[in-house]
Amino acid sequence: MWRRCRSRLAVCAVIGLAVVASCGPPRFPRELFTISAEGAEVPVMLSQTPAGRAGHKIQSESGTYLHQHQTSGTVGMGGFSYTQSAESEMPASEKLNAQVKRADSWVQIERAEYFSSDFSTYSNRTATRRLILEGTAYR
Amino acid sequence: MTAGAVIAVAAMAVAGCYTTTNVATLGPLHTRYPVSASSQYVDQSGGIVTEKDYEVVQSFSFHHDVDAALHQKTLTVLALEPDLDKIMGAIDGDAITQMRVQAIDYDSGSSYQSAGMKLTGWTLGIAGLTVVALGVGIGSDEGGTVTRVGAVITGLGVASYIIGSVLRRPASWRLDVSGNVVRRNARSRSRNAPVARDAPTARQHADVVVQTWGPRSGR
Repeated sequence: MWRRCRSRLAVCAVIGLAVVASCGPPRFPRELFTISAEGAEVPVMLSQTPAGRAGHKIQSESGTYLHQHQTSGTVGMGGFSYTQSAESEMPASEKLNAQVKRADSWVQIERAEYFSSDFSTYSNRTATRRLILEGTAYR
Repeated sequence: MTAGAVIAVAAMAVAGCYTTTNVATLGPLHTRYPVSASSQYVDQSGGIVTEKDYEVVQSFSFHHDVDAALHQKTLTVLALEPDLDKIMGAIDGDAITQMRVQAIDYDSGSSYQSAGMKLTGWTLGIAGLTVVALGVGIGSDEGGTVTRVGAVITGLGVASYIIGSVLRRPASWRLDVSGNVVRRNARSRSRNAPVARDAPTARQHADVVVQTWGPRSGR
């Protein structure tokens, strides 16, 4: 009897731990915040390089957005809260690479910006994280 | 009384917004050697150097945090040049390729906890002061009790605000920087050598390249 109880308790403990572990903070999507040109077919220069001939501007961005809103309840009713979250499907680096045309010889990264904003007020809080890339593709 | 309530709500609304903004920017790096995010790079003469033209001497990585004070807007210009110069100074390389800057995490610090405590402080403080005003208005013994209750609520609000102000763990971008230090191979050097009568040898040409980019420390 005790053995059966003990094994059930162990199963419950394992399930409980798994549930607790799954409630941890959400994974930070590193790929959305990476400046990289892996797989690029042309040089993507981060250092200042003498400008080439004709060039065209390219820009991309990726990131995450979280909005939590709480409302207070009226008499006899509890309040409710909702969470809205959004995340870019593609990393900024990939989007930038996709804008490079076949005729382009190389790319100068002019500016990269890591932006974050955490806003709090009485019933709202938002968290915005963004990576913005700007560059010029030269022929 | 209605006007007082409106003023109280307005004061809470004005005082109750806390924003921490942390912006880190990276412009074109001012280095004496080419730095590329891809496997190819543009050399000082404008020529494109591919993977076939160089060998990887060493890979590197380092960590960089960008901190921001709470409830303020902080703008930081990322200066990666000193770290890269140190690496290039220690290794006899010509360029850096496949450089990657990755934010591995963002820590909002005590931003939300501090804001929560401050907001509670404002709420209790204003509510407490309102109760104190009520007590004074009522007067006599009953009014005295109401005033004391209001003072306690105000005190709790002040304490909550102070605790919120003490929480100061900064918000932080956590960045990992990695890449490869590369050296052009002999075949590539000789192919790019000038055709002049007194053309330098491959090694000498490399020295010319270094001079063009400027003197390199540690060499």
